[in-house]
Amino acid sequence: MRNAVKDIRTARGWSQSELAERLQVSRQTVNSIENGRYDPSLPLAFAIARTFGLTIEQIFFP
Amino acid sequence: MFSIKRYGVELSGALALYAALLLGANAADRLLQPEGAMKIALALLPILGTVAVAWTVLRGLRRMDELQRRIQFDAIALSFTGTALATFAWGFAEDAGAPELRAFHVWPLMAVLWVVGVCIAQWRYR
Repeated sequence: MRNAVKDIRTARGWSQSELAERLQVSRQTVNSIENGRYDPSLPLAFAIARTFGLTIEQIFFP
Repeated sequence: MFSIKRYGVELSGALALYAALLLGANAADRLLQPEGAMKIALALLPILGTVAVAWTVLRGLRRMDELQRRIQFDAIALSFTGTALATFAWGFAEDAGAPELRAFHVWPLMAVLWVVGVCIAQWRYR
């Protein structure tokens, strides 16, 4: 699954560590999601969307 | 949330407890030279330390996020299947004359495969 997490994060000037802290996950998890190596669970995808103030569809693409 | 620093402190404490119990049990065995049930109880005393280690590892797993748990799951699956295959194969080899495998040898094998599994899984999700 493709996603725009990196683009949205960098547009807001957040580091991976900062986003990880907001999501209460490790920096490695943020990195793996951004690289498309790991697809987050639905609860984590919702948490990412809530943190960015966007919908899941605006962040994740099939 | 999982913190490697906190985990390290807790694991070090549990390992220190194990080491103290092991040394204490060995010293008590030499001094008291117990027999029967008392000797077995003394020999099993360090197990309390290993229970503390196991509890620390399980607490660490519960604090991990979903990717970290996935990595551990992959590693434990490799360790489980690898150890099962190795010990099963060794059992057949024993029937053909290979030396008997002590139960003490199983855990190091499992631990090595666990570490290998963590390295592979971390590389996969990097």
